[in-house]
Amino acid sequence: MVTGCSGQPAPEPSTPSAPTFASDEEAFAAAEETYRAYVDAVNARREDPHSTPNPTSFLVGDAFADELGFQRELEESGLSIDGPTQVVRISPTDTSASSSRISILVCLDSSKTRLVDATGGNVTPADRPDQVGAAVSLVLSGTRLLIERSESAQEQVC
Amino acid sequence: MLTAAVATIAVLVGIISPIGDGGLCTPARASAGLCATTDNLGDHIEVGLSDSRDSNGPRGSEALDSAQSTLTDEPTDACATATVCRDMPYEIISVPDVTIEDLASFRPAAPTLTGEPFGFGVVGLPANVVAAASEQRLNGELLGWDVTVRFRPAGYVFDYGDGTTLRTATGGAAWAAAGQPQFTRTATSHTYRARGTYTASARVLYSAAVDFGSGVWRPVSGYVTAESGAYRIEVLEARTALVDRTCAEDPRGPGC
Repeated sequence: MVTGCSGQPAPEPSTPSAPTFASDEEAFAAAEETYRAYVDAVNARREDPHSTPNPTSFLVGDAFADELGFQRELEESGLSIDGPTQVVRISPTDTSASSSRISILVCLDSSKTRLVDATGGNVTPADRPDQVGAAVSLVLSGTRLLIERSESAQEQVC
Repeated sequence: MLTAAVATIAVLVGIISPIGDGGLCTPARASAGLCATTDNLGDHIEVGLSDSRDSNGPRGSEALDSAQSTLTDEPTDACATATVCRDMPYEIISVPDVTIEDLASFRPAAPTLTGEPFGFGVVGLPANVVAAASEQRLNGELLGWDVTVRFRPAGYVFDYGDGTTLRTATGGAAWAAAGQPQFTRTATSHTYRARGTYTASARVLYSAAVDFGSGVWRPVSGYVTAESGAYRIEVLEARTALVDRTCAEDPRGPGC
């Protein structure tokens, strides 16, 4: 058997006791808690580059790859983000207790953030909307919920 | 200074636009103004206003006449689908929905493809391959309207010529530009496993938007692709040997 470098055995994919949520409400509550913790970690990193937890520890798959890629593009362009992103509201979509995937709609407020260049100059696009909606999907990884995708919402969220 | 900042944002938008339908939206992207919003996708744009209450009379009706004369060039069913004619005081003309197929006559430029070391690679070490494409604006006529079509690189598909392809949001960067040592991995590098001559190519996926003169960019769903020319890479094996004299000193020495 070939294992990765973690040295830990891979979890059984179909354990009978695979964690699921008792109800849609419980699933949504867990998803909301995870997303808020993620945004808190993102905001903490904007204040202190060594803050913990690392925001990427909440991410997996596409969301993880995109976050790394986007941060690198920002750095290469000499840009950074100042100020906290605020979560205006989080609402459920098609959460299902039997599924290990949970979707939520998030309204993000960026009005207290600024895009700044290497000299500290404000280069925030003038036409940036203060509030945007994101459709976020989370997956269960072991006992943790992780953010897997985060896309612009097609419907009105904010 | 301001121009430079705006240019930076434009480059960011160009490079980071996702390959995907909804477009990615994270706290960082939202802060940079890169999340798509639902309210910039309206069905109608106003291309003219005329006030029928103008006491000079003919102006309002002239404006309407000229709008209608434009439309009479089209079959009548086009009027039904393409135009909403409301009663005065305002004349609102909507433009038809544009599909990616309608843009067939607009061809964005092909990306350039290069690499480093130029034309060479070493078995087992990353060869850097970089595609470059930029935003383009083309003027022309579309469905009877003057239009500006804007193409932005939204994604790249690299074909390294050894059966490996890579789909990426960035065209890549030179090692020096990325601040990396030579023969290190980049977002678009490739490690060839066997010596030989390979022909690499890249396709760029442009997202398109159209402006019918109102200053409003209407996104067109789908992508227009453009393919680069071929980039030949000779992949060699590197072996090291300890020698006691240089090739200049001993041209018949091993490896000279």
